Amino acid sequence: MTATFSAPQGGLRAWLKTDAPRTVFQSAMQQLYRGWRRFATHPLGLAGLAVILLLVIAAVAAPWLTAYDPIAQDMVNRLQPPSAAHWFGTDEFGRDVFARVVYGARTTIYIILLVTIIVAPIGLLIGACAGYLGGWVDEVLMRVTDIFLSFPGLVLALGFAAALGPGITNAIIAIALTAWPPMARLARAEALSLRKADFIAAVRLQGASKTRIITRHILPMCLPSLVVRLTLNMAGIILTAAGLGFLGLGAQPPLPEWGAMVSTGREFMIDCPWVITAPGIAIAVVSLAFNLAGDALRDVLDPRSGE
Amino acid sequence: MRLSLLAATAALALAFGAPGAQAASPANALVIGTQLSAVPSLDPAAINARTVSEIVSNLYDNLVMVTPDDLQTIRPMLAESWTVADDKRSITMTLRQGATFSSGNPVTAEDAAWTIQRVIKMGQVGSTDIALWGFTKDNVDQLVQAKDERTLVISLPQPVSTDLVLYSLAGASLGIIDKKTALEHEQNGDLAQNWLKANSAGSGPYKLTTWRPNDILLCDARADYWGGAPAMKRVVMRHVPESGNLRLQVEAGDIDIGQYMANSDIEALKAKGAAVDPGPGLGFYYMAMNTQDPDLAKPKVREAFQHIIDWKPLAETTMNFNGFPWQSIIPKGMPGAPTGEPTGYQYDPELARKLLAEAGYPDGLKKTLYPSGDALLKMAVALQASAKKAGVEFEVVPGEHTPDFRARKYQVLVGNSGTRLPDPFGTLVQYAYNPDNRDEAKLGGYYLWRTALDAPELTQLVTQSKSETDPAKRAQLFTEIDQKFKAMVPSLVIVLQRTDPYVIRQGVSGYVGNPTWSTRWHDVKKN
Amino acid sequence: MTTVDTFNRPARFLRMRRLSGRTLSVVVTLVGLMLLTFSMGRLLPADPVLAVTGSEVDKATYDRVYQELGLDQPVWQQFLSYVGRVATGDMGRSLTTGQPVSADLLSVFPATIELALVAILCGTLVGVPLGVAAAVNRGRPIDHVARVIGLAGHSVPIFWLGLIALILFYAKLQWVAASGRIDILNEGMVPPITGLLLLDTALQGEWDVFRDALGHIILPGAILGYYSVAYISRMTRSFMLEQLGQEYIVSARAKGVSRRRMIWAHAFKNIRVQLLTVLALTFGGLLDGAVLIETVFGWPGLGQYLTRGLKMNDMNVVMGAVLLIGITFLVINIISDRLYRILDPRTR
Repeated sequence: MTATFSAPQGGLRAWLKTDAPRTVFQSAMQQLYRGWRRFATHPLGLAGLAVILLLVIAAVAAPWLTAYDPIAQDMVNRLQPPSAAHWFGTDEFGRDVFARVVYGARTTIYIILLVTIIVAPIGLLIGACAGYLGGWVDEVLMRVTDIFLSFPGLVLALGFAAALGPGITNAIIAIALTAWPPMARLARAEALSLRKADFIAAVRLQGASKTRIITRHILPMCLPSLVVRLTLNMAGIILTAAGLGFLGLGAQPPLPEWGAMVSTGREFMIDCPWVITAPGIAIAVVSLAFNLAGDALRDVLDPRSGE
Repeated sequence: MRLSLLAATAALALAFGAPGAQAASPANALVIGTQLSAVPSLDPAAINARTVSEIVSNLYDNLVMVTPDDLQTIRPMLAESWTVADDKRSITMTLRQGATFSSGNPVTAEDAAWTIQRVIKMGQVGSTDIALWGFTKDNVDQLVQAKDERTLVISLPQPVSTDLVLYSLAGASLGIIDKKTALEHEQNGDLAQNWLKANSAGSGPYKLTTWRPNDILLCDARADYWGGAPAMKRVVMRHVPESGNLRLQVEAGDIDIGQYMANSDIEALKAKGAAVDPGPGLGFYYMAMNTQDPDLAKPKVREAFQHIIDWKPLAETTMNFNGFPWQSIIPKGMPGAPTGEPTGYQYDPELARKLLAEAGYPDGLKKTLYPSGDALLKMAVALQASAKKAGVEFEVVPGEHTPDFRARKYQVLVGNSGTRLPDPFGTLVQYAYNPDNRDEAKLGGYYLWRTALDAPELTQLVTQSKSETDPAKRAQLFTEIDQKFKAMVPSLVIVLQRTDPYVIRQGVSGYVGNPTWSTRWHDVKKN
Repeated sequence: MTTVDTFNRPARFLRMRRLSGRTLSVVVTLVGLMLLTFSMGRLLPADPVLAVTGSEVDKATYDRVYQELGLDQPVWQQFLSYVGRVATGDMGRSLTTGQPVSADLLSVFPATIELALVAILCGTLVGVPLGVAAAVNRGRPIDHVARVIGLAGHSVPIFWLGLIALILFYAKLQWVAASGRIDILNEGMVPPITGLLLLDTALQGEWDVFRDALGHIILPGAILGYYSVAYISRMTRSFMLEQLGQEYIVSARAKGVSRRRMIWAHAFKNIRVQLLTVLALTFGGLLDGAVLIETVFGWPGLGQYLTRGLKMNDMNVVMGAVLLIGITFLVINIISDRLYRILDPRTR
């Protein structure tokens, strides 16, 4: 067999489309490409993705998008309506609202990333172990999960945030503590169905340890549905974060956080509605984007679940 | 589908077609929109906050009173006259005839004596003022006695200006309670504390009808009130936590008086014709520095901190309606108070930087800044920005920090104070008095103690002013204390004198805020 | 007789075992709930002694109350006594209202329940028809529109929506009333039976007061309901799709049954049970939104009680309110579970 590795001929597209992938990497890339093509057929999902990208750009390129310092006060110019100088107007301390919304994207990204980093591993691990190992491990872990699920998300997050103290990181930890149970549940369901799968039995016969089975085989299979669920839940997480900010338990001043901006701005709401309009819309749009993107993602990664 | 549409339309029609959805405040009822959170009790002896003092001063009468237009003059109320003994160590009060409690029982000197004894014995926040004169659980029964039905004798354990004693008797916490009725509801010897939390037994023009904490307070007028039945037959205090909501209701005529409103809402209502009673108060907004912190113990650092507050725009914008610029520990207009605009520390970031460098901090300082409560958050954020320009970096930590303040567990804090004594002694004893600076003394009631600054000379002068009776000498003493306070580079920097505005709807007259917080409803009328 | 016995005994035995298993799991969950609230309460930066004595207290009284509250005991013992007290209904006293927490909860809880019920009603009235329309017109524009409408309700911050609605419907249009549950004129006019104003006034025929209460609850209830439209319409849509794909629908179509009858009399009928459980779950989720909406509208309910308790570090309030919410959630889940079992003809 002339097994020469030929450079991708016909360009990237051919490499992605060929029927006989030569490496695991290529096969994975092909799957990704196929998934992307499916995703691209959902206009609403694309719109959601676009907004998320916009969010990332705003967070990263904030200093280039606005010349104003989001925390510099200018009492002479407080509560100015939107104008050419201040696109979204100024707040009660004379700070430029547009700048605060843009820099607030950083806070939002920080929330999203940190929550994901905490919730995904914890949820996956707990769920996969519970599902695969079964028995009393399952009972105990599910009991704990149930208890956390016994509270509406915001209420539990409120309690933890109050106990941990003010500050954005504490608020995130509080939210993460309430967001992992659905992930665990999901991972458990996946692990349960996988437990009986043939290939798992095969690997077990080969002598793989429980740890290896869980980490190398079960966990990766749970990922797709986890990603979908996390994306969908991210909308709720953003709202919960905004809710905590609204109640004064989120970012400490003068950090721009959209929920806190609505909270402090509501004092001036009737006469100066621009102070809360922009952050409120920002929250709504980003949350909606995650919902739409998550929906499309679900269609792509898990077509049997529903529509 | 059709059924649900039908149901929806029906519900909407019911709701929106309701004539009662919008009921303007009735002609003979006064509706006050305020904040009723943190009102744990209606027992006069257990309270000292502003709103609840207002409530209590209408359910209960005092022996004497002071009116907003002339705080220094003591006027008769339940006591129609009084005399001071020659040695100035006792006051004999004669009670008026014809005053009755809401139960129908006549007001007697025994009720008055029992009330005063009770306040001291309970020893809660209501007793802070009167306990200053040396009354204790052990001596109050002998010192305060009813000689007969109409004669009350108060003997003073220490030499004290009798005016001061009378001022404290005018405070809401000394509202006279119906002893017979109260004791009928006593449980386990608690002096009726539990019952009086949610019931009233006073001789005031109003009696309590409904009390739901954090929700609503309803009082009905007493036709048989000795001072004549009030025009407002019913007074409703409603808990409206959102200022915007409250403003909309005042605009719509559903609510007559708005309290605790945000500045922009007050501005808007003022522009629409509502009256705004500025509501000057006997207290200040201050920045406190904990001198147990090694950096803040240095006087030069504290001096630098005097120049990091941009108080002018603060008073004009963020704290508009909440206070006016002030830099003395004697409230404006009181004997010994400075006249004219504040002339002390100005906002000078350059000077602050220089002073800090001289004190050994060329790169500035970093401290945590606590607002004492939510209401102070705005001020803290404003201070954070103005301090930054002077090289002082504050990390603002929102939350309720009064307990931390009392426990000396903070670095820098902004808060506000209030007192109900219409005399400079009231604020001086808060700001310039520290009898025992040790941690163990736990004198959390004194701000100077909270900042751990020892000031023996000042303390002694304040004590002296307590017993000095000559008004000219007192005024001199007060000025001296004020100046000495400033000279020691205090740990408490006064920024504003507080004002607590009341927004009064057009057509409502006779509602005047009392700086001692005994705002009375008796003379309120509507046209 | 003997045949009936032998038939029923194993069934009854199994049922009892299932019941005791379920009861056990409920008890365990309850204990877990209390553990959670207990730790939350202890973690709060609040001094439990001051909650009882107030903040002005001398050392002697402080020490006495410290002992009385058992704070010198090991933690597990404190937890046990906490469980014991809760079981008898003693949740301590609130620092800010001065009342026993259980009394406070008794007055604020019905307010939130009433709000949630109105919200569910609004959410159902909008969400169910929306979901059915989306399912029947799958893929067509109305499907997408329905989805976006629902999602928007779930994405917009509810406190923001509440504020905007207040300006529009109260200030500008003057259609509804503002804070509180009832006008001051009607305070105390109707003796409470259930604590649910709408029900109490209707039961006693006080229609004026009923209308007043309705005017107060309709706006916060509708907004809270909008919050749940997404979930309800979503689930309705997916259940309907499941039904519409089934054989009996196809054969009914072939037999010439009218479209409307097919949708409502056949498909929808079959999903009613599932919808009920969806509603029950939504109810619990509404408690989230209630916390925020109550703050905006000054609604004297459990949500406001909790947030204020958290702000004031009122430990007993936080523990009591969180526990009550958890128990409510648990009860709703149990009820919906049982309802499902009872009503679903397939499990009978």
